[in-house]
Amino acid sequence: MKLLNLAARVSCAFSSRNSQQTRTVQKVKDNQSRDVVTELDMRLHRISERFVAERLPGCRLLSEEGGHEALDTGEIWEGEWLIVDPLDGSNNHALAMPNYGYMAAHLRDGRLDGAVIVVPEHNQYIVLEAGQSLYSQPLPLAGSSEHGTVYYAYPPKQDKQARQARGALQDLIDAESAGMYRYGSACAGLYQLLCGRHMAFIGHGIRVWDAIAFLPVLASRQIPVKYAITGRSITVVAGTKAGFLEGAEQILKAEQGLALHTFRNDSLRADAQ
Amino acid sequence: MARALIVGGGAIGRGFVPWLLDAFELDILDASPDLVNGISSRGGFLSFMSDGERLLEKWVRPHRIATTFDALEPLQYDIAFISVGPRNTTRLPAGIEKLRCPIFSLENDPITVDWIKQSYGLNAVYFGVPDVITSSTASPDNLARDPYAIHTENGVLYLQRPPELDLSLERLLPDVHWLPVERLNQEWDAKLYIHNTPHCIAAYLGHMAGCTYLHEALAKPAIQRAVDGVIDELLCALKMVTPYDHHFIESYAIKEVRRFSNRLLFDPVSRVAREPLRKLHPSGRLMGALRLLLSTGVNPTYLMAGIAAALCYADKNDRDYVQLSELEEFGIPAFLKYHLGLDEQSIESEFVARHYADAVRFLRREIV
Repeated sequence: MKLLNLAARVSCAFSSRNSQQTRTVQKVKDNQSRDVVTELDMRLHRISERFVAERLPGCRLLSEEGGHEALDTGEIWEGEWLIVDPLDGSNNHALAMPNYGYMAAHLRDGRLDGAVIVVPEHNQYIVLEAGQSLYSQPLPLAGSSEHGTVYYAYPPKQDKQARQARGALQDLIDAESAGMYRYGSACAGLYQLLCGRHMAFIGHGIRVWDAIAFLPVLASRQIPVKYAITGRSITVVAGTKAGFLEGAEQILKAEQGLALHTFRNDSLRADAQ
Repeated sequence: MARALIVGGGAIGRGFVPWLLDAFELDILDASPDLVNGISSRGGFLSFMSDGERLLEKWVRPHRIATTFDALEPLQYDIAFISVGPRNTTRLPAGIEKLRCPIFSLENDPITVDWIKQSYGLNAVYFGVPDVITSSTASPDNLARDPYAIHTENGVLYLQRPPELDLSLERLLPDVHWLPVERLNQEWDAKLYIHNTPHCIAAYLGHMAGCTYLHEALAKPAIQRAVDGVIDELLCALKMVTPYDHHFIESYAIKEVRRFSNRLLFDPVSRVAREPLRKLHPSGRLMGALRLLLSTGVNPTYLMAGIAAALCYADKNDRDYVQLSELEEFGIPAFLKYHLGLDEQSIESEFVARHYADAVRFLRREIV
């Protein structure tokens, strides 16, 4: 399992003792005070760079803290790529709050070939590679309720149609679930979906690296996933309650003209716009 | 005739338990089609029990042996034993939930009783301690006679006494020691530390020294010294924190080393050392022992060497090999945190992180 080595390097970085120093904010992106880059973001980015250089010859890196043009040009769907979000939930980490994690998706000719997810607060790493999965801890399965909660992630800037869809999705969540959660990390929200603590997850036009690594992991646990990729954005609807997923899918179609595809782990290229 | 079921035809299930079940019609369920078909086609298997310098022989003829519960219907048993390995107790084949007899988990960990109850909605599940060393194989000579042959020593089976134990069942099992749960837990304490801790350490050291069987490892003076050292450290701590009679636990410890060294057992190092992550669990025989020693002020010099040897265990066929092969990249604190849930500021994690490199140097100098 080649990717376990990456999980080991990342786990080690999360585990280093000087956590106060790693919280130092180095920059704020796009003038968005919630989009901070901490020292730990950069350390995990460099670890990913080194891993690709040393262990995945021929593979290219697309990291949140690096260049993202390959997503705009569609280059990402050819050849071998590692798509990395070094620290999802950077703001939480900077504020010494819970909920953050590392995600990497290994893509080969548009197909998700593997994934690495590290959620340090839960002593959990997940490595998926060549159809095999490795969890550092058994998942604490909570047995999700039909009327459980929904994690809803969306970016601060959305166009008019997306904002209308957002309103309708929030109405749906209020009507069909025990409530909406949004705690600053899609990674943490998706992990809680995996554990059964959320009934569903909606990532509404979030960045591709915020969720893509979880797609094959959710599918491997028989959690239905629907998605659409547009440039750098991904919309993901996943969960265990079929009626809720259908409702969310209809809203996205009606309000934004967004057609979701069922994730079957064949090539994502054909589905990307 | 009374009927017994053994779930798991490994070392304890196939090697030791059948010696206690002469009065029963015996069924065995095992996940391995090779084992089931092999024993089925031969009509049974050879089991050998060491008794002093003698090796007793027994032909075990199961009434039925199968890979699924369907093949054993109707599931009418007077007693059942589960010996599949602790990690497998929550992955037992469908049908286990239909058992209505008392079920005894012989899995070296009382928590497995709760796991079995919760996983299959069973109530009559109890703990058992097989105080015995049983190999998972046999000597080359005996394997030539029967590829499914197995060696065991003459041990004792302690079973938790169910609240309403059927007297006829008790009479049919004259060699079983039935104990109330509190007393059984004491046996477990003694076995966990005085037996299991040095036993698995001998295996990890044996692996480093390139030994195949445990008796070969104990024949090496450096390994014998290290195992004696671990036992001395454990005895010091146990004398301080348990009410056991000191002469009793000392003689128990001496007996244990003799048992490990039994040349008739042919106990593979790979069996005793398997799944080191489970053995390193914070409440288990290695980290649990470390906490015991540190909390009683005993310097865990040899125990630390044993823990380092467990972390260095590199058997490609072992289930934990993949994780252990990345130990260096994880670093000790992260490895212990992610795999064992040990906080990096815990006393165990700090101690192991501080002393691991020295312990490995000691092992390379003395054992390899």
